[in-house]
Amino acid sequence: MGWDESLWQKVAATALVGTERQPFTVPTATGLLGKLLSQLNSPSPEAVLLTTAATLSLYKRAGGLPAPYSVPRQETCDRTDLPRCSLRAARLLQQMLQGQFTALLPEWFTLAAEAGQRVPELQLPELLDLARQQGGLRAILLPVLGQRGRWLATQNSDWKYAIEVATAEDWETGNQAARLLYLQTLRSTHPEKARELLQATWKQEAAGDRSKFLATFRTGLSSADEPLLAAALGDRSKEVRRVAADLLASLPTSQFCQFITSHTTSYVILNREPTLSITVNLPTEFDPSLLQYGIESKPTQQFASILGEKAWWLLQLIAATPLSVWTNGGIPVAELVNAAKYHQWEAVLLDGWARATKRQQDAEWSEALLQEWMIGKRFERNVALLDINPMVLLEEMPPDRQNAFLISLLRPNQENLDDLLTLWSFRDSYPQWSVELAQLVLDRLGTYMTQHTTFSNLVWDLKAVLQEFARCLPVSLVPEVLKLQSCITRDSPWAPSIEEFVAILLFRKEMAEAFAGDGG
Amino acid sequence: MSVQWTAEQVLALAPDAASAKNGRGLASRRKWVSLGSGPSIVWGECQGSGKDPYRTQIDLREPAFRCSCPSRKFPCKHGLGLFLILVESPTEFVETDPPTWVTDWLATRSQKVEKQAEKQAKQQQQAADPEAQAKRSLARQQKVSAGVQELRRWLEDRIRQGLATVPQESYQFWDNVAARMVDAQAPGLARHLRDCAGIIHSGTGWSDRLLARMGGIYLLTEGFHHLESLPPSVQADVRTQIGWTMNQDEVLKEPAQADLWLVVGQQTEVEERLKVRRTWLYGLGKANFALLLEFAHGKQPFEYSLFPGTCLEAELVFYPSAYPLRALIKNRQEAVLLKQNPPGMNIHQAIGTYHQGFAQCPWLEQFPMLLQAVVPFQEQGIGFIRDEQGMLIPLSPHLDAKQVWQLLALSGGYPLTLFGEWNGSSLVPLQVWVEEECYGLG
Repeated sequence: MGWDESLWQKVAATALVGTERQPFTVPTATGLLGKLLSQLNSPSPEAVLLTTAATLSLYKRAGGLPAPYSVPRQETCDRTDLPRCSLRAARLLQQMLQGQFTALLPEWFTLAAEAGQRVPELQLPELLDLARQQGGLRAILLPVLGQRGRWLATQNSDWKYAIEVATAEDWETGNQAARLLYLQTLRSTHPEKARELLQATWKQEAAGDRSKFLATFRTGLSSADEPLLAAALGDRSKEVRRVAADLLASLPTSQFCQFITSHTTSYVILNREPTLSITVNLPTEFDPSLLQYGIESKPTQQFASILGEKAWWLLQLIAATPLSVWTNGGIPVAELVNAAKYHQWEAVLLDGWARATKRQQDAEWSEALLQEWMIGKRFERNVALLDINPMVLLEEMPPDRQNAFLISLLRPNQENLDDLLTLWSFRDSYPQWSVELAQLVLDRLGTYMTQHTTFSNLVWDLKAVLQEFARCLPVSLVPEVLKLQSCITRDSPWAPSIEEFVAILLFRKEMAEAFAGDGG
Repeated sequence: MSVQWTAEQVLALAPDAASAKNGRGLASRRKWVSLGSGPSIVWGECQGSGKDPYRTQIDLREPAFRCSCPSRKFPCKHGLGLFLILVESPTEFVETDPPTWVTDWLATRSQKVEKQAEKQAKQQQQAADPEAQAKRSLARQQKVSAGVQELRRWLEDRIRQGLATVPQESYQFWDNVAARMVDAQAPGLARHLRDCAGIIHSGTGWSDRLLARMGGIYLLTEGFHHLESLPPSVQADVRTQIGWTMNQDEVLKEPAQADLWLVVGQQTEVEERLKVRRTWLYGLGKANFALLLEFAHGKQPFEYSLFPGTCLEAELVFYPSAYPLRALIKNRQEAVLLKQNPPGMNIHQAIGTYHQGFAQCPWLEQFPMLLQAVVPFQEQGIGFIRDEQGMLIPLSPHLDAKQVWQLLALSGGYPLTLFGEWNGSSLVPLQVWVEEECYGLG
């Protein structure tokens, strides 16, 4: 063994300062290396230094050995994993990650989850990064990560979100997010256990935390939660009081609801004869006993400019009153809504009901209010609804009713495009369209596009909407869409948007096929 | 007709995602005016936006593509679309005599081989004027000689004055001397010198690395001095390093090695507008490596169609070297897919092979390593691989973090087969095989 690191260091030190300042002598070494070094000679010390450097560095490089492995072995990934998606599905995923049809990523994840498959290994790092940046993707990505994805995520703190399972320990010592997650999870399985945990630490929690923790009670809410919620109505924090009142309003048997109901029914009287009418009698003074139930006497800043004090009391009361109060005695919802029409308090009544509907997640009321709003063209009369978007009520309806509602919305007007554009306003709560609804939309599009071939603002509006529509259409309608496309001439202003429309749909169809065992 | 390809493999040939998408869009019978096939060839006419349809053809032996469309992508969307139809619905093709535009292309392809022979004959003719040739090569020899002398003095000056002040010099300091080497017809030396400029800014230990590199260059000049006394293969290495390029026709005269060559790694680098593609082949019969270097300007395609994980039956000739790696394809047969992991070594054996190779040719910069049963892992984002014998080597610190994580994801903590380039201190992984699937990382 002729090598010694100091051999090199001597040469390097001289090279650094230069031979004109420090004379160079060839270092001596043992063995073959020493023999070789001793043969280097030249009248120029620089030449000798350079050849010595070459010899030593080559000697070192030719003899370098790999290091033995000293770190503890890491865990291997569990071999029993979901089957990997097909090559075809993997290619489509790759295509989306490279920027094409990226908006369809959620659909890919959903299809994969339905097929019980996982994403390909090669795309894991990119997907884990993507969902780290876009929190909205996490919930749908997690089920298709497979063991492999979770195994990978354990090794990178950036991907912690993928393996975070909240534990009881998190509740004791974790940060707010971890504790919230734990409470949320526990609520869905053991709501009473979650309530006891929160009850125990209630007084020590900060106000911001209290309201967030309490909001998790929406999951698994029952009358057993009433005492804690009732106590929270007297909380120092306004936000906590608001959350508690919201939750209590969803418990029709609660004392809260009873109390509110007794007030509401004394202020708002339903007369059944001869036809249903509504009489509203509000007291001149605010009843201070309502305060303890979260009803406020002065409108919040948001409402101060559009509502008087009395309207404000009424709105809060109706919003907190169980909807069953109104339909007791067999009054149909539609009749109630109709009776509110043109009423002096129309906006407050409808808005209050809409809030109660959202709180109590009532499908029947949702539909009746939406009917009134969309088909009764209430929005055309400029009766201001306060701050609730009626479209969110669509979510409370079962899918078949959603479709039926949208069909009834579209059916009557064959010529007008506005309704089609209206569909767009439901984009946040889009259902998967039924074949019937989709066919109706296609027919309407076909009629409109063949009749209107000049550019207008509507063309631009519809262009944007079409991309959204292409995501709602059942993929089985591809032949119909191709038929529609064949009716559009190449020079029509619609041609490019229809082409993109078809492309999106075909891509979705390919995704569906790739998960239907047709992936090759 | 070979229909062993799958749609995924065809789409993997796409130069980018847009081509894949557009190719998929064209993989429909109604987009094509005609589709025909003959032995190992398919063609079709695709109606584009122009008056005349585009004429697209694929020689399935490689596969090689040609299309009359103006796209600079290769293969273009028409080529991909045509190939997809062949894979997905081969019955759409009418077996018939090829039209003239197809036969013409086939003819030019086989003419290429003939032309090469012609060129060779021509060069032999030129060589028949040995006097003129000898004169030319003597002139260059003298020019290089003078350049090498100058470089030796320059290097010695650096050592006399010390390397400590070198970082204060501008880039031009190295560029000037490199440019003089280009003038002296020694472009290889110029490249080594330009690398030195980069080493200075490579962080801690730069002076050690610079000295080693300068020593290496000096050694090269030393070798040039004693060229006549060196064995012919070492002479060839020294000449290559200084910048002599060997005429391909000369190389093709070397004895050929026929084998089933597996594409084990591929990497394309772009320097300004020049694309350089390195393709590593592994001879399954004789268990040796070959490196194909190809160059293409701008968006032009590379000469050969070589796809990771595929095999080609071919005769290769190697450039002369004490440790021959760089090679040329003398002739090739049809490409086949190999669904099987190639045999590799453990880390100790692979490093041992490297040492042997390095001892024979100290100019080896990237050494091929095919490793079997290795497990990748990371510590603080830096990748390593270990083998079952407990040996460990680092992955290149210049790897993209995503690549390290991809490698880990593919392995799941289990052993895999890996091909990479070893530079003496770290490994750049280019391709892996897991459960008989092959993945390119380059």
